[in-house]
Amino acid sequence: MRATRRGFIGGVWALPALGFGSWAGAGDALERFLALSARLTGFPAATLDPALAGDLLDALKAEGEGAGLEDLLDGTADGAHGGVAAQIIAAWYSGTHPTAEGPAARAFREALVWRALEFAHAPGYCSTELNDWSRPPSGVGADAKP
Amino acid sequence: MSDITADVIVVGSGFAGALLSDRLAGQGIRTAILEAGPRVNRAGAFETYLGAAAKTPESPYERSPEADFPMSENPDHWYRQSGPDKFKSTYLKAVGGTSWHWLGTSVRFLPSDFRLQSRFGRGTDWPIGYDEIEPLYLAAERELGVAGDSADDLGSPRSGPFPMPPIPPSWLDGVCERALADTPWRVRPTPQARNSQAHQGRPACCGSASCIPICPVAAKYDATVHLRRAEAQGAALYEQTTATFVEAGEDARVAAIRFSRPDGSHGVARGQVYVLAANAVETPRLLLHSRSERTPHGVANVSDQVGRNLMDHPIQLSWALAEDPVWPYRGPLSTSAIENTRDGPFRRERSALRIEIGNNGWTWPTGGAATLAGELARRGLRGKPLRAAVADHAAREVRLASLTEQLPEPENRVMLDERERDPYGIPLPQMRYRVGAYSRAGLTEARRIHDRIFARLNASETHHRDTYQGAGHILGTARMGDDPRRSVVDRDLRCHDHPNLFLVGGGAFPTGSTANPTLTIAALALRAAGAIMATLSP
Repeated sequence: MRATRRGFIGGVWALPALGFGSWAGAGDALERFLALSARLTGFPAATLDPALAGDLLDALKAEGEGAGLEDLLDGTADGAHGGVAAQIIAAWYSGTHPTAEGPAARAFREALVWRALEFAHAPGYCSTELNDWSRPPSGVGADAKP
Repeated sequence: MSDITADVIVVGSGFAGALLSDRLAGQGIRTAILEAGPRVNRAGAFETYLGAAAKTPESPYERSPEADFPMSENPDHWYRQSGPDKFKSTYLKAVGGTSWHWLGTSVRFLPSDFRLQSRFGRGTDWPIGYDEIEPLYLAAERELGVAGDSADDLGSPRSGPFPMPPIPPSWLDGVCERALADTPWRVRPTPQARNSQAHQGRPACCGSASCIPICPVAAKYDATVHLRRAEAQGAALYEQTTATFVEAGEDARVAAIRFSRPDGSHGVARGQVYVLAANAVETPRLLLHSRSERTPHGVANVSDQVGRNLMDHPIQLSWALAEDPVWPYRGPLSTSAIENTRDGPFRRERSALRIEIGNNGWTWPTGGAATLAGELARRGLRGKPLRAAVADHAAREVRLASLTEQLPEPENRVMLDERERDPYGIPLPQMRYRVGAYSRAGLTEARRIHDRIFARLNASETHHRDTYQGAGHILGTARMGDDPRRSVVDRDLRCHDHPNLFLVGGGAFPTGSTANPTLTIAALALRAAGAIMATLSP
């Protein structure tokens, strides 16, 4: 798989603000996408990373989802565009988005899944408490994580 | 030309090559290690892992045409599969070998594992028995730094304690143990080469939950520990240096090993003793390729056993949702298993089982929590209910993986596919592989037991993968035995055909047991190191 190649990193991963740049003059679209993302993901818009939002928006457009996206951004019920809505949700939670050449990673630790799982953290990073896996999680609750 | 000269030439720098080289170098024996892959920078590999869309076991590691290796997600990459089944286990080419992405499980064989034929009428017996290897197991546990419960031998008698107290079992392990209390199945903490406390300059496990594919802090043992030590004691390590041909000289002795490098250079490595430690695919591949007038069937292959008896531990993978949260996605990827299904009279009829409990939810079968939201979204969930459902689902995910024993069968083999070659002209490995009835009966029994365990957890959404998984345990292709007509190496891992050539690694296993093989590989490497030292003594 292409994404396993070392050279891949420099292409997407190491340039988090790349996509955001192309939306710099389109603040309104980005605001609307953040509002839509909040509605779909269950996380407040103010806690969603705008740079990541810009990249995901770019990626969706590049994948030809622009029309469905426009309807969603307009606040139309997403029933007609369930596929696009699910793609947006999947991208925010997984940190990856589909491309013509297969899935591309855009974020990992920041992916929403690790905020949704209040009892766990992204793999690859140390726990804050020693041997925490041997106990039920402490502090699991609505406000345990930002 | 840039020739290499040493007392001992070692090909491969994984578990076996590293441990053996450290032993030899520590005795002042000039040792040169040839490794096809590059050195791995842990921080760089970790960054690659973060950026990989699919976090496969191989994802952090560099791949090149000159040092290519199999892919977990595509069994037709590198391997040329001639069936009837696919061989699914993989390995790396890197300084440190596949130890970079192993899990760390360090269980011993059971005494009966060495006597499968005489006890159960299956497979073959090993030429050595448990009592003979026991001191080497103890030494290997100290070398690797195994954390375990010294009071519970798990059926493998011990002459001494583990060097470290056990890694605490996960919360899920405890849930399973309590749920199975009145069943025959005992959930026991897994001995593992993972620091439960700071040990020999490496930190305690910090629960990164990424042992496969990479431990970010080196709390998990890998072969670079012994490579560093070997180099500090004078061993020379040559990275990106691929052994391409083993030359047999007069008197049946190996005379040299040719090597090539990506920069176009090539040369010859000469020593008194040669060791192939290149895993149970690449070692037979090199031997079979080394055909000459003196070795018409390849080196060390008068018996025609090189490449045959290929084994793995075909795995039944099953997953379900427990009724109550079990809090996975935390800690080492597995910390307990059921070990008392590894032996019994049933081994006459079907494979034994080692039932591993997974701490990483459904990551192995489905991609896990990261893929969950997309799945739930496609079912129509949105917003806060979706967020809550992701957390609830992930908290209740249970995964079991049962390793089965695969019997040695001569038609399961690594061969050469002469139609396709690597950049150095060596044919690609052709895999002829079939999972036989003995293993398949074990896989069926595993599904039955998994169902019973899931029922005890009041689980829903029970799944069984409809085909076996590879365990990453490549075994059998240079089997050990006393009879030169039926085996490749003797009980010291010395080739019957060549007195100065040793083949270490999982290839030497006459039968596979259900134990993860690394500790036994390490014990045998220590045995071979002893035999080599005796050979070199005046």
